[in-house]
Amino acid sequence: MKKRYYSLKNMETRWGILMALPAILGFLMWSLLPMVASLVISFTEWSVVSKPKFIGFANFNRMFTQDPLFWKSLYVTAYYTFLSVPAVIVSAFLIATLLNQEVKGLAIFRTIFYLPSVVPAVANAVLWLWLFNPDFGLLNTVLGSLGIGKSLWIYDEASVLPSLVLMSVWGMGNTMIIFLAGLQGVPRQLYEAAEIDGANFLQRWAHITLPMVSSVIFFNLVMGLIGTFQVFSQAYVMTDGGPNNSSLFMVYYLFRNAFQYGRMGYASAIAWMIFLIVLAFTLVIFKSSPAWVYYEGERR
Amino acid sequence: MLAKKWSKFGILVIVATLCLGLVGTVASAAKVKLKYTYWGSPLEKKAQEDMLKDFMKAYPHIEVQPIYIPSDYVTKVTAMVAANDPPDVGQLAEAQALPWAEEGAVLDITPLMEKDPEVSYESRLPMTWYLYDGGKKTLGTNLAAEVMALWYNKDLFDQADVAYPPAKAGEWTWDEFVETAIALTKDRNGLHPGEAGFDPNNIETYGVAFGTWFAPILPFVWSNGGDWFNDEGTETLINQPESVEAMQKLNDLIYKYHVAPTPTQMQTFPAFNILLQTKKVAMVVDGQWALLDLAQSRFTLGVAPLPTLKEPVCLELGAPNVIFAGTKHPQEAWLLYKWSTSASSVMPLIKAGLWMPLQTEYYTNPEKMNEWLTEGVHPPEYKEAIIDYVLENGRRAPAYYMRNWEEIDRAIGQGFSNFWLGKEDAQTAANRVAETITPLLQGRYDR
Repeated sequence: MKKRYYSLKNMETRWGILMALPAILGFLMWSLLPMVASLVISFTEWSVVSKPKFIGFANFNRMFTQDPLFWKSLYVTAYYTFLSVPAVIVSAFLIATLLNQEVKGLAIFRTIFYLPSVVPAVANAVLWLWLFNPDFGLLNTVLGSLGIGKSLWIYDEASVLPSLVLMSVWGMGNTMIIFLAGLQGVPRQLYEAAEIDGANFLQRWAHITLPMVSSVIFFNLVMGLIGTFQVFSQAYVMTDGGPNNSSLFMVYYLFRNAFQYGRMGYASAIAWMIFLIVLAFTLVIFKSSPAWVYYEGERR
Repeated sequence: MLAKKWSKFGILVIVATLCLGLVGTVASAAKVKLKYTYWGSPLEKKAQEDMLKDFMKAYPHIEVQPIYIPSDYVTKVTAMVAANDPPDVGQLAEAQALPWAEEGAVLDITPLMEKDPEVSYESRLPMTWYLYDGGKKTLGTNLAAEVMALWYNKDLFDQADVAYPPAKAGEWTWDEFVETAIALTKDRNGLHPGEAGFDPNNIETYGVAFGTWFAPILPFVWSNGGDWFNDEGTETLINQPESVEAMQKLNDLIYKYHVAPTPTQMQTFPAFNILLQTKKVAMVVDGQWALLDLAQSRFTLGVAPLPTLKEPVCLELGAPNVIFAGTKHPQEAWLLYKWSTSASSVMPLIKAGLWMPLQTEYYTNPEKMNEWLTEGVHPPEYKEAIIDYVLENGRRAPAYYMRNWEEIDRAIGQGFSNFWLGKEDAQTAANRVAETITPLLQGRYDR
């Protein structure tokens, strides 16, 4: 038998590719392929049981010029995103700061604040359905006992989205954990040096904490944006997109078109629209990041 | 060397597996295999399984694989059809059945009916047929018949000393119905609506409860001489006086007379049968299927046709059973289709009150009637209140004929949501809804 020689580099490359192969294949088969397929489908009229018919840009044309519900869903989703993302980031940051202090029962507090994000989405939705009930819900009972007027919460066009934002803030555990990790990664000596120089708590927070975790804020902002543009279960389980389509999120509208109205082509076109919108927002955030995100060891 | 040995072994294993597989296929080829898909409650699941077992006993050369899909039914069956591996026979949601039939994914059964005297248009309730292609083709009927009716707790009527609703359709006017509802409604202090000091925020017993989806609403619009669509299904009549008046009258039950709970109150209420049993509500508008649970509750149940505005109308509805066009065994699938939709093979569900027979003879022939009417389940007035009601006044729901019904139905539901919350009147809501649904109207399947 012939003896073969392998250089160490060769071997590393081979093994490297081999080990990464499941992830690469997974991406190709379960992400890239469906994406390409949905792009193709978005140019067709297809009810799944029939043969797809190529119709060019008709789906996109319909979306922009003939479908008021698409615009409604875009508005609803954007409204929710611009309300929910800042609310979640601010509250998660605040609570992470508090949970970064040395207090008694820290582990218990951290568990309590993280717990809601362990609850499955549907169970969460059913729970809040009860809290929001105008006649017997806990929230109105509390408001009533405080002497404040009652709200219809998710049963009113004007209050349904703020109500859902309130619910999303309750489930901010994951964001909070990432902030907490970021806060704990801030080097102690910076605070000590600042203290010696006479900086007070607010100065230390503004000049050390905030810059040092700005990369975490950046990460949470991007992830939050992507997540809220895909919000679905609240509309599916709680509001059915109502009242009067005021919680008709884009992904829910897409789902209806695909699986209830049998318009797979149109649904794919909406999916690509969502993708492009999220892509645009993400690029804007990325482009703006050098101005406000600080990375250690990086010199500008 | 070792590697070579292993590869030889591998080939052997593969060959052996192939052989075994081949043998297996040959052995089972003698039997025709069919797939039957269905949804439903655990009780329906058991009844359907028993129905299939009896079918296989009657036709030993056919083997049916039951596929129970309790959730996301349409999504999963769509995937099966798209993967070119459709079920042979099965249930299908109303919204998919007719479009799929037009696209050739569901079988037109008229050629099969022509060859088989057992099934004809006359043999089943006329309003249960799903017709398309201008009424020339049909994909069949519902799996079971269902109608909307009024169910009530007789004990509450006795206590309040109010006469039971007449069991004959057309004898109960709207005003008499409202009077009855007022007499049955009482607040925490025992006061009725209209009496001095009546507290609408603390009502102990409501006169009536109804949902706000199309089935409890539309029969009243029809009864008032109106409709939501014109005869061709191309224009909406939802904002015409007859329709608006009927819907406003229903709305007044909630916000004017305070005899019915609001939609948000209903959100937290338990099921209708519990509401009737716990005397929270005296009457409910609900489908015949509710009888299953109502019959098992502990109170004296009564049933009546819906009150009449101008003419008595009975709304009939139900999801169809179909033969999928991709079936490789249309003859055997036809046998299974007939079996699954015949009253005698699903008698347990009919006797329990969940389903009603499709075959007309069960409504006209007293002997056949006795086969399904069950003491302790079907109330004594059932024959008049339901059987005669559907035979004489039955009318099919829009899902049987309206194109794009799913989207129209949703647009109507969303458009009236503020109306049912008591924030606007019927005319305002209906005018807006008319505008939204007009572009969605695409005519009818059967015209």
